[in-house]
Amino acid sequence: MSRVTKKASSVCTDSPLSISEVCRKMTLMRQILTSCFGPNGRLKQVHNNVGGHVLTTSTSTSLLQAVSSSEPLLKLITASILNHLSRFSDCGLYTGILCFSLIDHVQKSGLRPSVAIKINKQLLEVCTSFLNQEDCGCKVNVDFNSCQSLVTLARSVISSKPACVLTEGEQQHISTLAVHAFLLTVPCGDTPGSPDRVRLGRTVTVSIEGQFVLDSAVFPGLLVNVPDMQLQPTDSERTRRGPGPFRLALFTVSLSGDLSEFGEGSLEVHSGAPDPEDLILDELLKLGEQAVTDQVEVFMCQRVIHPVLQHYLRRHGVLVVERLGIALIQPIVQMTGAQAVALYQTPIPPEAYGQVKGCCVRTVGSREMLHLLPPREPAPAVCTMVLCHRNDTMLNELKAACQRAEHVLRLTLRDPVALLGGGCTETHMAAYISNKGTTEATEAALSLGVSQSQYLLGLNGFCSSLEAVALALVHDGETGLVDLSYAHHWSVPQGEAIHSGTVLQGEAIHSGTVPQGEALQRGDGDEVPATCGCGLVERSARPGLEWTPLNTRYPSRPAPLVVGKATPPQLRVLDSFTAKLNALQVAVEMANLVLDIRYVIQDVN
Amino acid sequence: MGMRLQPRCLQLDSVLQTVSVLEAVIRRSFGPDGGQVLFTRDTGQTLLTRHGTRILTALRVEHPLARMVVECVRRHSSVTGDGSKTFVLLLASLLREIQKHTRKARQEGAGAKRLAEALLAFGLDELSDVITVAVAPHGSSLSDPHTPGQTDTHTLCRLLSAFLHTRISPTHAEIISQLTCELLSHWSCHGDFINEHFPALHTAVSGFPIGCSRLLEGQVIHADFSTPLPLRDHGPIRALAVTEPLEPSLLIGGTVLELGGANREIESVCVRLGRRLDSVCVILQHLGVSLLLSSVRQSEAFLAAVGRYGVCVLECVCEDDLTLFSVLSGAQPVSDWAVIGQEHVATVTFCRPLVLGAHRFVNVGFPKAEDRGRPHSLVVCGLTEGQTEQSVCAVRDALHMLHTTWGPKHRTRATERTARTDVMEPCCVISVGGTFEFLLHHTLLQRKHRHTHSVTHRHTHTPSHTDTHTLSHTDTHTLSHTDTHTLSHTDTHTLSHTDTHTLSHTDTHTLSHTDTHTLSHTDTHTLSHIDTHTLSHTDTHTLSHTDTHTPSHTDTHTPSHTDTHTQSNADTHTLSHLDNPAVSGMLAEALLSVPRQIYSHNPRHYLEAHAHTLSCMRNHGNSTNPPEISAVLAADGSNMVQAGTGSGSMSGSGSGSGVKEVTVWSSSGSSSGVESVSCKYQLILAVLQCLRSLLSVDTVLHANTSHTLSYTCQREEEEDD
Repeated sequence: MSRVTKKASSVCTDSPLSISEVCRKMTLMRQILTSCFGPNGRLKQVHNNVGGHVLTTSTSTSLLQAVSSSEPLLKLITASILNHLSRFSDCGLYTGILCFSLIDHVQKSGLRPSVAIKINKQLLEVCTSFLNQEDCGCKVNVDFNSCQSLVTLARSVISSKPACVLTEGEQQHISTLAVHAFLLTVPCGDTPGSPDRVRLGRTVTVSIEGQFVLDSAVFPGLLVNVPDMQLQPTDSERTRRGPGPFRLALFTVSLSGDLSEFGEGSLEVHSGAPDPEDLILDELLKLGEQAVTDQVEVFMCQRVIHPVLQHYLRRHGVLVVERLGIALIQPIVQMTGAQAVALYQTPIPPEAYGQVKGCCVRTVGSREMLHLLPPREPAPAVCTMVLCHRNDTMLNELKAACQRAEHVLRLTLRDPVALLGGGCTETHMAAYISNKGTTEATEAALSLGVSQSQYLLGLNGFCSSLEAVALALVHDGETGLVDLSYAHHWSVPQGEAIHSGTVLQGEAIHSGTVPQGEALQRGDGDEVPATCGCGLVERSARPGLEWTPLNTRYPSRPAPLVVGKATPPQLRVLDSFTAKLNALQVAVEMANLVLDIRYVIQDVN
Repeated sequence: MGMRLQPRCLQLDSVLQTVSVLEAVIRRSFGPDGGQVLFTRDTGQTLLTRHGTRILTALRVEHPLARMVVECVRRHSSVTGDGSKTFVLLLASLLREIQKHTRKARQEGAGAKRLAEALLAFGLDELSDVITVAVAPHGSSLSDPHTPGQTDTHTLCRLLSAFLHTRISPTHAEIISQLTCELLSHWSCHGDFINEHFPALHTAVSGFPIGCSRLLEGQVIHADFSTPLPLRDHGPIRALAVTEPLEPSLLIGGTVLELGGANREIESVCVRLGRRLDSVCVILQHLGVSLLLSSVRQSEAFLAAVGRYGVCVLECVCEDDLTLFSVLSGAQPVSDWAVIGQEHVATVTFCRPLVLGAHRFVNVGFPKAEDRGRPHSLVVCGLTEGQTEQSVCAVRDALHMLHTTWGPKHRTRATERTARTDVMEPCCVISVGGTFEFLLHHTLLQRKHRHTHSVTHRHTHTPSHTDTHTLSHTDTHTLSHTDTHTLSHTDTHTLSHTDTHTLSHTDTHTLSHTDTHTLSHTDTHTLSHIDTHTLSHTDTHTLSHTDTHTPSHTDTHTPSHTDTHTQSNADTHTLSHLDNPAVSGMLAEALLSVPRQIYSHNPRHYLEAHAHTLSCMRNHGNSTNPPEISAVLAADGSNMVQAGTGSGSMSGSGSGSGVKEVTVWSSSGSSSGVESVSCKYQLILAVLQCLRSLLSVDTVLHANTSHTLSYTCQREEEEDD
């Protein structure tokens, strides 16, 4: 009999955002996320109260999964960020920082939540339509003819994971590998079947600890982990044998010869009757015989192969691999065109055989692995990425980063555009929104049914939140600047004290032409770096630039100019368009949702 | 067995207190300004809701009376899908009315119970008549006026959107209601069909903004291909649904396979097995089947075997999906492989893999059929599981509510005597924002006054209203005097009446409302004048109006106040004979709590809406299109807030702000929502029943027993259902 226990009443909290404890927790979470953001982000070590594994990371996925809060509001935000990450793999910290920042600004501005929600929603629509415009100033097309922008995209993802501990060269190497692997998985030429549907190949990652990062490599085909004892001398002889497509048979059913698959009934063996296991072994050997006559050269099984059968096959020069594991079956099927056989009682149908071009033994790090080469070149490609790193923690982080990068690269196939990185998209968008919102404040306020001052207050909060994300990239005491013409993000190294309200000028000559009536203080712009955050605007190429520190309220800023793309300079940082667009929407919607929550009921049973 | 007896005299107060606690929680998410409630389950799941029943059940209240209320709400909302928040508000305000009444009568317990019974009797006997006469003419019908039997999609959208605005955040309600409308129109408004198959017709996807929600043609089968073969996309595909494993395991539990003799049985069994698989494949190939939907897991051998014949298999298709599939395709699922025939084969027009969030599904399409529209499925996106769950829940309840609106089949059990509910038009809808409550309030009051001394009544009111009377006189003079007279009469009367009410309110309930009501009271005088001004005529009247208004108000106030009191005092004595006046008066007052809560953020809008409904009511006698006028009322309260805040200080520019408001109203007038009258009627009945059963409890005994489960014994004289 089940026990019926009395249920305790729920714990209720009224207007959670007005409670200081909740706000404190949210601020803490915001600080954690902000400090992790960007290539210079700080690492976090997470360990639980019962000891065990210590996690060192700065990526949002690992961090948010490891840090769980009891606060329902934070749980909600965390869950939404993780959901976003599971779809797009990128911009998790961005989402979090923007979301917390928006909530914070609304609270500070004193707007009623329902008013703020409406304004935020309207501004989000302005943002999304701006980003979807053809001539949007913070969008660049991804050119598939050269892999330069793809590599930049991949490097932006990888370099924003400082827990990988990579040097510049290593970052470049890994990004190139990621793009190489990605390109291998894109089928080229006409694919059979419907033309509108492309089936991407897949990348299998093999991670090896204790090697140099630069030893990482990408191989077309599959690397199969084979225990030493399975690679008999005859096998290595075979692997050296000349080229030619080899016939391959793949089994998913266990060929171990035991009787486990006969259901739940019982067997009754009369004395004198042949042992059922012998009978099954006979069946298996028959199968082996067929394989040999059909000239199968590679015989693979997901599970265990009976030693007698193995021996028989080897004696006939067949390469035998057992215990592949379920994870490798699909890639093998995809690469070789074999059909996995799930029944050994009947003969192997001829169409079930697949092909490999060849196989050889590769020594990867400390491991010897069997390399299966894909049968034909434009095949639905499967490739293997071998990642090496010095220790386990960094390796895991690197593996995750490469998977992220692959996902981000795949997203470009659907939408071949990318956004400027380095905070430039945010500052540019903030300037655009600020300008558009200020000029159209009257109409927008009327259509939303809020007063104009409320609208401007909400607009200000929204723009500041966007700029707060750009500012979060700065960790080492640099000052975040924005130029007044293109509204790109620049960061000035530590030591230069720049006060709010100061305008820096690029060229000394221009300071003479400035009218004296300017209320703003002007400084020398020499300390400003050569390019902006993303690398699109070069200081030397555009004289007369003026800068101001981020998050200084400027009376009315002109609409930011779009940088002419005639001679595109080398872009340094690119972000995924699809991921960032979704992240923006998720962040604003989540902020709206949290602002809308009036009451929290916690079931404490 | 120890027990604690609660003193009887506390009963009504404690009931009211309990219900007030529930009301206080509900109020957070009520109305256009209401917000979300976040709740965590005991499993740690975080969910969002604005659904009254959900909020109440999540509270896990312990108090037996509160649990009873929660149960009543749950039962009501499971029938109609609507009105759970209003339920609690109405219940609380009815209890307050009863308390006010009995306090005067000095005979609490029995009086309260008898009042509740009288209310219920009134509700069962006369309410539907009252609604049919008074409210229904002001509403519009959900069915298309041009083609009867068809649903007017525009009204349907307004109904759905108004409902969803009470359930999900307003920024999302538009998207979801639009999709629901489209879904209904794609299915040619077979609401009941969608309602029945809704679990299979929607897919919740988390991780995307809610704007990504969309409709998909065909059905989404919530399972992925078990065989990796790509399916050819063109041309019709023949499909088969199976509910049994087509290759049973060799030995089923309990059977014994004897091995012996020379015929090497195990071998023959294996061979038979292989042959059996082959024969199934041959049958499938013969029928041209290339898609197999299985509700159970098939063996690997089977998958491999059919895969070789180019058949795609979907395993573990859930019951709902399979039912819908067989309904849409007209083919029955196969349960025995031996009898697969042509009649089991379904034809689908396309079958393509579909990636929704983290899941891979399959989207199938069906050939066009005349009797139902084009099948479409709803994909609901949200940031978190909590949000999608909320939207899905809201849509499900919206369909439920539509079901109630369309057909009066789901009558509450207590209406056995009512053949007359059929008199009420089932598809009748009325603008949201308290129109229903205002109308019913007035009709009930009218009834009350008609029942009682109409002479004294007229007497008290004639002096106070000379001004307005002469103004409206010009319009109404042509018609028969007495009727219109009473109507216009009640109008201004109620304005004063509300005041009386708020005064008494402050007296009795010092805990809840003192602050707001004193404020609203001061507002009322200055603002209501502007209101009448905007609604009626010209600038010139303003001054004279203000002048007469304030003194007349204070003058008539006191006499009318005392008047009602003496009346009600007299009434309670004769209550045993189902005295209508007191009962309908109480109900009328209680009803006002709903619009009052809707406009709680701005009392001025309450008065405006009230006055507007009244003017519509008055105009209804001579104008032809009342619903449109009441639609301009645009009770979408959020717009009204904006109008209020936007116009800023009202005092100076009377006419200017008035014009502005009218424009705001009319701009939102097209999107103004409607609500179902029959749902409202059922709601009032359910509340009255709940009230009766609440008040028939006189003692709560807390019993402590060691060996059985601890339970609360409620002694009830009569449990209604």
